[in-house]
Amino acid sequence: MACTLQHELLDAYLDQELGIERALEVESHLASCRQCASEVESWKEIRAPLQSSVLYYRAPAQLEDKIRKMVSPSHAPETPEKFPWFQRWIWAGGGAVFAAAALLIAFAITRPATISPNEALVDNHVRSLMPGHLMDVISTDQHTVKPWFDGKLEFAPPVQDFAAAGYPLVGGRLDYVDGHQAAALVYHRALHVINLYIWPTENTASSSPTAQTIRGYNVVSWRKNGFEFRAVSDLNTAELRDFAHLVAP
Amino acid sequence: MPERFDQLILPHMDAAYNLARWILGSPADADDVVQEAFLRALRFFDGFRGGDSRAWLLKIVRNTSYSWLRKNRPATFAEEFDETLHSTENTTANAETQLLSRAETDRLKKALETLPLAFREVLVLREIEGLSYKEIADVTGAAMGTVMSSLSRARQKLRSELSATAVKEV
Repeated sequence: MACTLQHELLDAYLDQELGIERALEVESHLASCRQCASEVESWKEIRAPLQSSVLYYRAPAQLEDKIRKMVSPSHAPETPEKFPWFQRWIWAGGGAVFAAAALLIAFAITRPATISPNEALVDNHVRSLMPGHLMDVISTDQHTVKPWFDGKLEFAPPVQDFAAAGYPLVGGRLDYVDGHQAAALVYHRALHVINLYIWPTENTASSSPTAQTIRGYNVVSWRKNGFEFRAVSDLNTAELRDFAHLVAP
Repeated sequence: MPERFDQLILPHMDAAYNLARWILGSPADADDVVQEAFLRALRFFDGFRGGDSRAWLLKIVRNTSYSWLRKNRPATFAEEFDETLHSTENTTANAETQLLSRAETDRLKKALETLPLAFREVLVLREIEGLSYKEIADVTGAAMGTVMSSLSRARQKLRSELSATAVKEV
């Protein structure tokens, strides 16, 4: 029997763009038409890898820095309207001296307000929570997550699961922190997500965890065994500190 | 910078880059175009009347990418568009098309890269970026019905591309 279903309905069905009535119609059609059913199934098989993070091109960290600087008012050199009276002096023939003075002052005023590394981490954490960005390797098994980093990083980050203590490891990804590569391990605490960033440091002195709150997120920082650690989460400080003590007892 | 720009537009930087990267096919070009697009977005931000900020930004990214293509690769651009006029042959679903391994993901990536721009774009917006038909219509300026039919054709085209490469490998 030749199939008379309008082909596009299958796509709208796959995309959940049909109202309930049309969706039910398509479903009953699928039950009786093998060709359409296999087409829907085969697309589901293509869709899974299509939606994997491999095919998502994330903005490189350098580009992100560039754009943030570009759009931030403290960096924008092309906003002379901020200094109209300087301009008027210059237009009035105040000459090079005033121009130079204006430039100097403008420079002093518009000096980049540097974003602290921990603020950048909070940005990174927030971005990681967007769909499809949190994890490149999904596993609750430290013996899967740790080898996954091999060959992707120039160092071997310590990877441990703390499920028994209520902080299960759920995966990891590669990331950039403050201009260098970092391992980001993802842990859960109930419904909260914790990003644990780890990168090597030349500084061999250990430091004990210190907490900071940035825009409602907590950041706990410490250094141990030649690694910098930053745990970032919307979890409360006390529990995030407990987590830090599990990682670096 | 208006503070809202920071909160509404900057978080979609990955979406912007992903779209530009898929349209242009080159990291360096995507880099340039995304910067240009953010400058434009900043300039036009006063005109943003709320609503879907991701679709708003992606529309600018798309326009910027297309202007870039028209200027720098006019030949490819014309060709791409002619190709979309040809109807795709109706390939039946290939039950063997199982994409599981990394090698197969790479094959999928290649197949998607070789699709004509209009098809590639609609698949990237729908499947990779996860936009709804309405949002895709906002970004591309096409009617919802057009979005649906180009998606349908894009999928058929990708399927036939995949089964073609599968045959070659056997």
